[in-house]
Amino acid sequence: MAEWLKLIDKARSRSIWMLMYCTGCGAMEMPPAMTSRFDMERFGIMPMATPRQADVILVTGYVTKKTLKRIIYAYEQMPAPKWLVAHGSCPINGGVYWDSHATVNRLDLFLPVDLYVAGCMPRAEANMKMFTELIDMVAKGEARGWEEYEKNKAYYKENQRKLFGYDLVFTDGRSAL
Amino acid sequence: MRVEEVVKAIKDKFGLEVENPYPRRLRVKIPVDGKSDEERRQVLRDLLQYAKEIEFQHMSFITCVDFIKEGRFELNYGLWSYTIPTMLVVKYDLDRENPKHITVVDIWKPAKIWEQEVHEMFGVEFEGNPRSFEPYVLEDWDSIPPLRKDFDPVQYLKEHPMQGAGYDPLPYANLVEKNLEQPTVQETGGDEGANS
Amino acid sequence: MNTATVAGAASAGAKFLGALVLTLKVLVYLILMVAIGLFLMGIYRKFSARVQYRVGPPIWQPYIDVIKLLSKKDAATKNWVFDLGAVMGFGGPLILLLFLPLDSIVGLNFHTKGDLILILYLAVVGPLGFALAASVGASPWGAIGVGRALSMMLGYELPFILGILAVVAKDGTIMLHKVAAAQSIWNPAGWHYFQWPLILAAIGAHIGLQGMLSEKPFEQSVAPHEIGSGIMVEFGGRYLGMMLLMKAASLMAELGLFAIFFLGATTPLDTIIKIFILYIIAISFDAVLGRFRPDQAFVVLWKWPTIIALLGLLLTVFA
Repeated sequence: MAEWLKLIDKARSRSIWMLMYCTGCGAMEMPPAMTSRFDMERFGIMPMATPRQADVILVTGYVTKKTLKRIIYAYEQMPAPKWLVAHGSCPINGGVYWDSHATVNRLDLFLPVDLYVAGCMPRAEANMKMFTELIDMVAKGEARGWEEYEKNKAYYKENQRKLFGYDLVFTDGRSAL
Repeated sequence: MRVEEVVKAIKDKFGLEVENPYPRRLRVKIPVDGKSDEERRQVLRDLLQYAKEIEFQHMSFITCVDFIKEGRFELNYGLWSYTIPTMLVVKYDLDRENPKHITVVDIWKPAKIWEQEVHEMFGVEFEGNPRSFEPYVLEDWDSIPPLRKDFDPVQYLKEHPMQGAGYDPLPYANLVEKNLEQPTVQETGGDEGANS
Repeated sequence: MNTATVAGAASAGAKFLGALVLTLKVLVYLILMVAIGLFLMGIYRKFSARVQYRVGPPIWQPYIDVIKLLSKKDAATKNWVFDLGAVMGFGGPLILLLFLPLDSIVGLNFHTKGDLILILYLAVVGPLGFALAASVGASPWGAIGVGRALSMMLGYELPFILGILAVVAKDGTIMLHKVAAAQSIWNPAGWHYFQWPLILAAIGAHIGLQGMLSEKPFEQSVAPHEIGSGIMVEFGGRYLGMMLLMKAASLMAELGLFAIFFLGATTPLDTIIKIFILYIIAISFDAVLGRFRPDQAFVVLWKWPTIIALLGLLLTVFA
C-alpha cells in the first residue's frame, strides 16, 4: 500500500496542471517558462483553463480584497490534492503595495500557501526553480496545504470573515459568483 | 475645422479663453466669476454639446483632482478628436465640502462609467446618473473615498488589521512623513564661483 | 435422472466458465486498446512539442496524467445525470471498439457481426454522452461548448458518411469484414483509397476524419482555453481521467473505422500499423495549421469535403 501511494505521489508530481488565474504583473513571467526557452511541459506542467482541472493555483502578484474572494472560490473548486504558490513579494507581505487601501498584505492568513517565491518579479529562472521545487515536494508528499486547510478550516474561515465582514457562501461546492 | 478655428469658435460662442500649451492639447477652464452653480453647469453642458457638434468624437476620461488646501475639486473632461488629432480638456471647479454635480451622460455616453469611477474614488455625486452610485471596483467599502487627500491609508490599515497584517506600518509611516517635508536648500558659493 | 441433472449442471458450469473467459477477453482487449490510444496521445504531445522547438513531455505522459486524474478527490457533488452522461460517453467508443477487426488479437470475433448501421449509431453515443454531462453542469461555458461540439459533429459526419456510402455502393455490402475482405491488405493499389473514383470519396471522408478526431483546424470544441475549455469546463479529477480514456478509445475506434473502409484493415497487426500512419498524418496537419472559428469550420466542412465526397459517391453509383 505504501509503495502504491508512493507511485501515485510520483505520478502527481510529474503531471502538475496549473490554473492560469494570474493576478498582478506575474502573469507576464509565465509565457517564457512555457515556451521553447524553458519549456515547462517537459516536466508535465500544463496550463489549464478551469479550476476543476487544476492541481496548483499560482497567485502571481498583488492580492486585492476583491480578487481574494475569487481566489478563495477557485481554490475551493479545485479537486483535492491541490497546492497554492505565492509568487512574488506582494502575496507574501504586500510588497510595494504594503499601504494600499485595496490590497491584502498576507495571503497565508486566508489560504494555506505551499511554496513562496520571493522577488519583484521573479524571473523565468526563478519560476522553473519553483516548479522543480514543487515537483520535489509533491513527490515526497510534503506539500500538504490542502489537508491543513481542511484541518484548520475554522481558523481560515474566521480570518476570511474578519476580512470581508461576512461569510463567503458556496452552494454545493459550486461557484456562487 | 482646424485647431485655431476651434479656439476661435469656442471664444466667439462662450467667451472662454482656450489655451494651447503644447501641440495636440487644448485646455479651457470654466471660471467661477461669481456665477451660480446652475449657470456654470449650463455653460459646461453647452460646451460639451458644442464640442461634440464641431470636431470631437470621443470622450476619453473624466478625472478629478483634489486641491485640499484651496477647498475644491477640479473635474477634467477629456474629449479627443480623430480628425484634428487633438485633446480638448474642459476644467470645472467644484466645492469640496459639498461635491454635488450634474451628469453629462445624455450628451456623452461613456460618461456613465467615468462618473461611476469619480464617485467611488472622490465621492462626487452626479445627479441623473443612477449607475454612478453603484460600487465600481471596491466591494464593501466602509470609509471615506480612498483617493481624497485626507484619506490616510496607514490609518485605514490600522483600523483593518486583517488587511494590513504583514507589515508593522509605524516605522514606515514615520519614514514617509519625513520624506514629505521639503528639503532645505543650502546656499553654497558654487554659483558665484562659476560666475567669477 | 441423476445423470441428466449432472449433465445439466456441467453444461451450466461450462456456460458460466465460457462467459467468464469471454468477459476476461473483452476486458483485456479493451485495456490493450485504450493503452495503445494513450500511447498515440503521447506521440501527439511529443510531436507537437518538437515542431515548436521544445523538448516536450516524455512519451508516457498521458499514462501519468490518467493515474494522477483517477487518484484525485472530487470537490463537488454531482447529480446523477452527470455521472450517467460520463459513463455513457466512456462506454460508447468501448463498444464501438469491439466491432473492429482488432478484436481477433485476443481471439474474439465480434467484428464479423458488426455492420455499418450499428457502427454509425455507436459512433455518436460517446460525444452525446459527454454533451449530456456537460450540459447539466453549472457552468454556462459548458452549454456553449456542447453547442459547438454538436454542430461540429453535424459538420464532419456528413462528408464521412458520404465517403463510406460510396464504399458501400461499390462493394454492395454493409458488413465491415466483407468491406475489408474486398481490399488487399498490404498492396496500396488494392485499397479503396487509391481506386478511381473512390479516391474522391476517401479524400472527403479523410477531411471529415480530421474533424472527427478534433484536430486542427477543426478543434474548436475541445481546444484548450477556447471559451474556458468549452465542453470540458466542469470535468475535473476522475471525470477528466475518464474523458482522457474515452478520447484514447475513440481515437482507436475512429481511425480503425477509416482504415477498414479505405485502407483494407483486416488483421490486428496491419490495423494498428495503419492507425499509426493515419494518426501521424492527422497530427502533422494539426501541428502546422491554425484553427477555424466554429461557424467557418461548419461552412468549410459542408462545402469542400462534402462536395468531393458527393462527387465520389455519384461517380461510383452512376459510372
